[in-house]
Amino acid sequence: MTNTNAVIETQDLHKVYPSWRTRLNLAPAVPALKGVSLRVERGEIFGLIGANGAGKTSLVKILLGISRPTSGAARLLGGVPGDGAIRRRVGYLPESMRVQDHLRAESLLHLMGRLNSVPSSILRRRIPELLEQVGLAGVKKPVKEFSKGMNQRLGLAQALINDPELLFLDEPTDGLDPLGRKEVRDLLTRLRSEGKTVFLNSHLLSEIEMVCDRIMILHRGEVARTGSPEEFTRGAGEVVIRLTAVSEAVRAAAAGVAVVAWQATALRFTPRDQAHLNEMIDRLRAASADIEAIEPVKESLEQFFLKVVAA
Amino acid sequence: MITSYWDALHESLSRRVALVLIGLALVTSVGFNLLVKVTPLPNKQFRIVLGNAPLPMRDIGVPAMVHNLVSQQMGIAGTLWILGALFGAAPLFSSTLEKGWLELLFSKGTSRWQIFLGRFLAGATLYAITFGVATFPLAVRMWWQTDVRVWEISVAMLLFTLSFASLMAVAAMASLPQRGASLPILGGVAVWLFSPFLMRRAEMDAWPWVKPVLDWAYRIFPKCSELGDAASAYLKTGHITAWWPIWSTGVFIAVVMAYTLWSVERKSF
Repeated sequence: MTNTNAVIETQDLHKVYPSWRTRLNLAPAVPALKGVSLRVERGEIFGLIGANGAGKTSLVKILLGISRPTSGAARLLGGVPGDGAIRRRVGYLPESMRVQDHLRAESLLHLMGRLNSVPSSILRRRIPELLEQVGLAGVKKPVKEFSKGMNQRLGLAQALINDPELLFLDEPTDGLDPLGRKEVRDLLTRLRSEGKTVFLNSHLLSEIEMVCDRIMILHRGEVARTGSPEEFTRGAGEVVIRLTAVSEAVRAAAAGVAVVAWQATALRFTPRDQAHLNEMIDRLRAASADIEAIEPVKESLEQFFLKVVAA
Repeated sequence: MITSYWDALHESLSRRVALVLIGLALVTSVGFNLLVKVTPLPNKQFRIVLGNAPLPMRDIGVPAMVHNLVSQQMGIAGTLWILGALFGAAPLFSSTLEKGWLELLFSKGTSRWQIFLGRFLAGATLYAITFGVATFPLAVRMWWQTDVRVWEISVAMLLFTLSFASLMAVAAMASLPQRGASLPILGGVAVWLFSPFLMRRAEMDAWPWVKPVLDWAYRIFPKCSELGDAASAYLKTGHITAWWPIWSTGVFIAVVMAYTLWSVERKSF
């Protein structure tokens, strides 16, 4: 826990939610987190994925100081989660944001800004900018009349009101149309280019795959995998070789090198190494095959995630 | 804390129950004012009559009559309004802890205790506003028409607000172990209903072992009934007849709020 470039650091975090049944030993305690250790570096977009009940929200709440860990340690921006000075440098969009009925978009942003000690003079300039940025400029109706997408956009604006160094986003594209999702992706990329760190928690794995630098898969309260999207979607080394036409001679040549699967004029196989792949290409060429393309078979993040969870 | 205070005041004033309460305060104030008739007499004398007073009227003098009228008006504001305002203000605590809003508030740079304290003060202010709307117009009118000042109404308002604040402290504490506004409201109402019962505990024919329990309960719990009596007495005499209900209720509020603010600060949500 000494890496100064780390924006988020946790070590062996455990969280158990006690109930009266567990206190009376009538039911075993179900841990929400079981020894979660992670490190997020400055300027990266870090994705957290996991099934429902995997412990994602528990982890985020601990990092924000809303909840306390049962054991283990966490550090945020070099300080303790829950410290007011640290929280003023953090933005957060909760998954199911609920806004009090009396508020309008501008008054909510003003309230959230003031709670983060942002001076009113700065807020007067920043609020219209943010509303413009999230597409809510000129909207005067109360927040209770907002659609889900508008609510989500407002949530993003309030998370950015204090110009945070670290941003926690829980399902930021939930309820947004494809255009809105693209805008959020662009926003995240821009924030990264400004050196800000984003901790993204989402079920939309395609979104995570597109924007995140690193991903952590949380499964039943434990870290199942951590790595880059490229590592996760690299696949098992399988290759597809697409041919213009297939003859019996070509099929025989391929069968002589490895066990292959044919899909019309494309063959799939898993080479042991580069030499094995070259041998296949040479044999096919020798059998007068016209090679159209050679492509590594990639897995989608969803496929990889399902594989990890099933394992 | 100031941000939280203004937001909570805005929130409470936008609740239907608070609007109804202030509306009713205005209606009773206007209604009571219409019942009071001030007739100027020669030599800078006045005749003040409440409603269609039967003849012969008792002459108690203008200042006494003015204080009497304001006291009557305050009696309504000090009792019914306390209960009504509790319905409008106690949910300020439970609404803070609503899922989705709690995460927004408690992830910001302001401490939780400041947010809660701001809401407590806003609740007390809501009550003071309704009290003022209900009673001040009559006092101001009397001052304007008869030149008799009833500035004691301000101190009486503070005493009633102290009484209300003790119920708000109970509501704040009751909002923590669970979600929803029912328990905070019930807690406040229970303490308010318990207060006259404790005040008259000596007159009750209770079992011997109950008496010390009631005595201790009396010492600990807020003295809402005594504060009401103290406010009425102050309006008439301009003197605080007993300080004990005031400071002991103050201690109750301080202790309950300190415990509540400490709990909300360390609670894991």
